[in-house]
Amino acid sequence: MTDNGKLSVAVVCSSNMNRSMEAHNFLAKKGFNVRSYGTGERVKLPGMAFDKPNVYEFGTSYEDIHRDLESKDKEFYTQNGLLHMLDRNRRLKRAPERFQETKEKFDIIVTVEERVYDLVVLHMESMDSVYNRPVHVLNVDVVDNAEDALMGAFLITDMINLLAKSNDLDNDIDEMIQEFEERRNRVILHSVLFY
Amino acid sequence: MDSIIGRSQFVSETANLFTDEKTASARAKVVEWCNEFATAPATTKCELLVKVQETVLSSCVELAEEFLEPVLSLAHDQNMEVRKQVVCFVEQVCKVKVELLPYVINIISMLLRDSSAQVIKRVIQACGSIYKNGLQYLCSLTDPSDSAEQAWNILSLIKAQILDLIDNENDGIRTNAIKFLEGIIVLQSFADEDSLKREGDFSLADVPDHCKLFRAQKLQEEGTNIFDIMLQFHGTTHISSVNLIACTSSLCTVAKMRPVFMGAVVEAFKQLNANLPPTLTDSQVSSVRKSLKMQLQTLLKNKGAYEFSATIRGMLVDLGSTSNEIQKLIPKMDKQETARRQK
Repeated sequence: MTDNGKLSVAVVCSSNMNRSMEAHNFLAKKGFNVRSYGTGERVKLPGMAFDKPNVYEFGTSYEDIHRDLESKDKEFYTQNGLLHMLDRNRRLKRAPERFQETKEKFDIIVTVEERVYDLVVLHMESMDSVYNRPVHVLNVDVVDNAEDALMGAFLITDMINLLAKSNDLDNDIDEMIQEFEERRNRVILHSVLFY
Repeated sequence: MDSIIGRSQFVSETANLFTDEKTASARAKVVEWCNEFATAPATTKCELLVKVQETVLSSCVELAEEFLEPVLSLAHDQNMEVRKQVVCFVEQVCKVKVELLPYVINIISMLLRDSSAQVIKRVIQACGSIYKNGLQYLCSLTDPSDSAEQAWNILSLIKAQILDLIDNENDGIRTNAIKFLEGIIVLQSFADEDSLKREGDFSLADVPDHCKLFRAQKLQEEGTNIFDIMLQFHGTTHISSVNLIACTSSLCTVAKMRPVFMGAVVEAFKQLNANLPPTLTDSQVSSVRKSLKMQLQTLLKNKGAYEFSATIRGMLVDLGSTSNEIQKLIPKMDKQETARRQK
């Protein structure tokens, strides 16, 4: 039997709200040792108008954001699903976290769009590696809406499930990712970086 | 006056008493944990090792030598997690009490030949800091003992062992070996005015003339040879995507920290850009090209790359950068400096 807890996984999107949290939820339920992050400067959520997003600092609790949106227009934010999403998030952890500020080390980092992948790689490259410990960074494109986030979470969990079967991930990952790409007809960006 | 001196003596004796008491209590605990090694299951052994390490190498370093033997004997344990934890212990010993290097280094050389790839990879990772701390310590000795000389011989052997591992059949072992060799090239070369500075840097300029165990020039020659081997490895047609990305990143770090290698690195990147390994899949090609573009962008920001900026710009355009993006990366220099560099 595979021990899902042995791999340390991070899922990263922009605001640590939708795509990374949906995948975090799925992976946590499967027993993976998972954390989630955003790479943006601030947490951005859609507002009442297209050009007026709701902006929060990373670290503001999901509870506080939920309360803030509820006070602004409970019906509107219930209809567009944001309150439901925040409710899910606050059950998983306290607040959105910024990837660039974490000191945690992972075996696998999954990003959900190329821009986020670039920011993760750039940040890791800018840090001096001290431990020479490798980490695999993988990008799986997921569109930023509720339905696609759900599909993306299925896909990411499927990929991590596959990788968790390996007893020697560093040796097997190239072939496993190729197999996954063919099976799911997806393009996965993959890089190795060091802590 | 006498009474003040007497009082300070008293305070110091009391302090000693407390220190002794603290050490005695720590010793008692560590003895108990070490006794449990024999009967404990593997997971518990790892937990005990962590506790011993925290106590002996963080708060009571004076106890380190006393407990080396029971810890190092676990390097023969059947469970690989236990053996990996021993590697972690040795790595930490070399950080906090490098004088103990001669007593621990044999174990590292032995574990590099372990049956488990996981253990070998952990050893290679640890060797990055063990080699650096060992080199720094050994070159400072004015009158090295036989055991110090022996430790240097084993460190050199370890370096050769890891160099061999870049041809290992296990892809992950090769990745780790590349990263280790990057560190060796940086340590065994000289920095110059354009070198990227990092905290705790060590270069051959730090090896004193009185160093008896080795000569800087010899190490420099060896470092240059290892750099050539890295270049060859980077240019092989059967290289895996992961190792190619790791090697590209390592060569870029070497060029930034030791600009003497910049020309050869830029040339290697040019060759790679023109002839990507035929074994790569389409998405691996995208990943490699993306990685190469990022490395070239960081190279261009360094003054050491000035001489090669035209070649780097050409590659960046080919990899999809706009002239505007490229222009922003070039470091600003006054006319005097530009003229000096053009000579």
